[in-house]
Amino acid sequence: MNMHAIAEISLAALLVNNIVLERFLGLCPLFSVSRRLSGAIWFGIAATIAMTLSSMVLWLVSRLILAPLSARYLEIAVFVPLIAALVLASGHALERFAGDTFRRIGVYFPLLAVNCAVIGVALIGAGPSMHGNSFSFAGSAMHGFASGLGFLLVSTLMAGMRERLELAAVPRAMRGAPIALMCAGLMALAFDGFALFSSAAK
Amino acid sequence: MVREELKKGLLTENAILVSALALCPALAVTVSLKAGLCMGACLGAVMLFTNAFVSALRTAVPDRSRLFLTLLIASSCTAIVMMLLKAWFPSLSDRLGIYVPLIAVNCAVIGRAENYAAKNRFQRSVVYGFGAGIGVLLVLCFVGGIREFIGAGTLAGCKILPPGACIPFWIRAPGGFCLLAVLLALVNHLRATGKASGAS
Repeated sequence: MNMHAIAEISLAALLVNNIVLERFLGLCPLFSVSRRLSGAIWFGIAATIAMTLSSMVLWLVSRLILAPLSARYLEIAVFVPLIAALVLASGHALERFAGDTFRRIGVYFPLLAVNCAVIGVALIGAGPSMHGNSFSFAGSAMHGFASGLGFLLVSTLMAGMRERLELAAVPRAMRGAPIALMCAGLMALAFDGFALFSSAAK
Repeated sequence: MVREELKKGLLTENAILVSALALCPALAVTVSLKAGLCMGACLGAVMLFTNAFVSALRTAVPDRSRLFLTLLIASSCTAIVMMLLKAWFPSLSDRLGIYVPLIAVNCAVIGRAENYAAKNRFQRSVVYGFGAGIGVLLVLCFVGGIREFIGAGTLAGCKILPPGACIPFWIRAPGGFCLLAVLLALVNHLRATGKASGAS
């Protein structure tokens, strides 16, 4: 695993295949936490921790336990309870042992325990990747970390937009979810530009 | 009772259009009618069976451990659906990718099971789950059909529009967001004017 591959994985997960805008994961928490900027930032940090941890653990479980037993088809049935337990436990640990700053993150962990974004990132990291070559352990951890940062980026941008939207005259039918989806769509259009990076690199 | 519950699941409490849940599958894979139909069928089947099992076991399990039970049931149903999909339609299963396993933690599946099936009798929950499943299936087919038609100029694989007339924007990610936004706004408008039926 050289530096170049690590950089490629993280840039791809952060911008080109952004977890929210290109893979459509984590939309429900995005819309519920992006009402206020501080909530969006703390939730994004919590999500980054949860995604990194679960990517690492699930890669190990998948390669060291499920693959030798040729029980990959049980992946999802094993992963869901495992991630729920892992995320809840790490939330408790943070609240218990970390300082006051980190205690504010702990409250978001129950929300992350059953979350399609956390599980989706771990599934991508553990399984064969889209282009056939699968991730190494470090690659999977990096992929989880960068995906979490990607979520943090989008939820922060989204919160900024929604604070402006509160002052805007939105047509009545578009209020709430529709206008948020429209904003996400325009942001996705902007993020599509990053796809040029990956095609230029090849 | 049956008609009323069916209508509730299908229209007035439609998971995607009214509650804005289950947006991930509604956006991610619906680039063609076929993909939408397949994803909708998987999601609907998991919804139905999760509702049925949770409702059947609701008196046997204490409230505190119910969420864990719901998770286990939903993920087992998903694992079975995944295996069937892989056996019958291997190419589709590859195309749908991680979105099929993610049905297990779909907020619509878990939410419906927790809020409805855990509090209602077995027959009622099964009928409601069936209605909700069909409702999701219809929406996914509709979104998939529209995106395939205006984005690629085909419908279920048959060429309809000439190559110059289609707009590839709609089968890319941003197009999905915008189309669903317009759809939800339309439903909001129809509900506000009191014509909720005919929404899907």
